[in-house]
Amino acid sequence: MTKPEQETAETGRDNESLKRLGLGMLGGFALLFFPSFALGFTRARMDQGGLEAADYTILGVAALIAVVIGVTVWRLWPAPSTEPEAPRVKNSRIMIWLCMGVGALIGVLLVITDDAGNAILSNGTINPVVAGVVIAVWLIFVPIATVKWLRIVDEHEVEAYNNGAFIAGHAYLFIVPAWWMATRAGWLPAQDPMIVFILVCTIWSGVWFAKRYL
Amino acid sequence: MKNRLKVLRAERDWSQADLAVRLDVSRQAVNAIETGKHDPSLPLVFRISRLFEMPIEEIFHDEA
Repeated sequence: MTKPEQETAETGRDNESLKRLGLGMLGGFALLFFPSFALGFTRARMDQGGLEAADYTILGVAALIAVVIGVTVWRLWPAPSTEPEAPRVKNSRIMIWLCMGVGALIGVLLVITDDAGNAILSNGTINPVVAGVVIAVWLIFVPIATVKWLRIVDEHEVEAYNNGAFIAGHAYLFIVPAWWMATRAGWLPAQDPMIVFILVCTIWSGVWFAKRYL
Repeated sequence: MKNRLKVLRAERDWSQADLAVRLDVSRQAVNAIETGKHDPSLPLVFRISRLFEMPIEEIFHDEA
């Protein structure tokens, strides 16, 4: 392979990685958002007296959108790369898929058992057994998986992760007191820890993504 | 920190992925080092030096 050909191939692989990540996020959104929406919507309608014809149309459109996104992701997903990989890269990918699987299972469990049908932003009551399982996973599995993953990945990824943590930590430092003051002044509703959590996680992931891939 | 990684790699006809496997890092890490977005740690610099069988200062040099 000549040098320009090699550079073109490498740029192509960069684009492929970005494409795979973008499609993965879109597919994940479709997989988690639409079942949650359908469940929450159906429960809300049932509480109000049952589903009407228009509600079935809304659910049908939501399902159709989910299917279209799913098929689009499936068709556009790049073929598996044949380029050589360091063992740590393969192990890191296995860990990420494992964590995503556990995360998806917890998400589904929360949606199914939550009385408001809204997994992450709900403050509704939850089955104590489910709560116990989720807390155990969050306090035992997640820290172990995080430490193991940090030992597997290379220094460039650790740096991206640490940069994300640094900026997300500062974002937390600025958001929480400002919101607290705004609540006391009557400008904002009471602080919801899960909204802050999602904001911090989004900033952390965004910085990690930018440092790692852009 | 500037480096000659891309040139040295091209001289050996290695792709970024080939070099990444030899250094036990991801291809994105090699790309980040080559483009100056990531300064490698001292242990990785030594690995690179051993791999190319060259002194560190012939591969890396500061921008001053």
